[in-house]
Amino acid sequence: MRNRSAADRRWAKEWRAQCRRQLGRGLKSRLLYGFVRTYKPVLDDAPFRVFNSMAEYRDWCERKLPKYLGYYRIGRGSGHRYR
Amino acid sequence: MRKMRKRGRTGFTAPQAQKLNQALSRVGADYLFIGKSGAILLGYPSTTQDVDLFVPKSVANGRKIIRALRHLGFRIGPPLRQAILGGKDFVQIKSGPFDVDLIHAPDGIPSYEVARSRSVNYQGFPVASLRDIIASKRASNRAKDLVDLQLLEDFRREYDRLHAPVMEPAVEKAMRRARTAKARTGR
Repeated sequence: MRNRSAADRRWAKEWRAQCRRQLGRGLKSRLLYGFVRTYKPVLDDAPFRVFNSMAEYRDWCERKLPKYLGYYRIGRGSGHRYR
Repeated sequence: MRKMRKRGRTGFTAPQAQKLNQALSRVGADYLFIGKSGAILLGYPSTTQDVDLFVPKSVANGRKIIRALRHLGFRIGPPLRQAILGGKDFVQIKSGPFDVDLIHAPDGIPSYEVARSRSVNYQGFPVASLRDIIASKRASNRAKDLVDLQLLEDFRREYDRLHAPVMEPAVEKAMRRARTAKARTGR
């Protein structure tokens, strides 16, 4: 946080203001704008799925889901690193 | 499995949220809203498409969850029923009016009981604490969750500021103590 640029700090300030505005809104608005339906390939193509463990689920996501959905874990041969 | 391209299905709506909460509480189920859906209920300004419920591993509670979901129009056949009753760690359900994930053992949270003790109730919705929601996102280590982490931390600070208990000013506290001491000594 200490190394945030001026643009980042401005953005963070705007984000916090947005958080305060949303906290002032009621349940109905939070639900109305907070839940959207977007088709996700593979993930949405079965009526249900069951996993014995969260690790099994994460493995399945990495093997089956398109990378752009972002369900892969950071630093597991994905070529992505979290900074 | 049969392909389910339900593009016409809308996201979770306010009436559905109320119905889900009512159906679960009517059957006496134990549950907590968790994940991004929980954060959104608490006022996090973002979007998601499914409802994440943290439920304890219990056959009796599983039966209640099934009864409530069926009441809402979810199709729950024998294999899915067995998975819910068996307390499988993660059950993803897309056979109803909206998507629900039942999570029996989320990453980063020691137990249901611990999460329950730290949970908050927002207008009748039992929601895991923001700290637990953030801990679970952090532990998942997924790219899409890590994007949210800093935003959630910033949101939590604003949330805590808004919900902090009202502090008694130091002068009033001192005067109150003086009055109490005076009354006790009678001087």
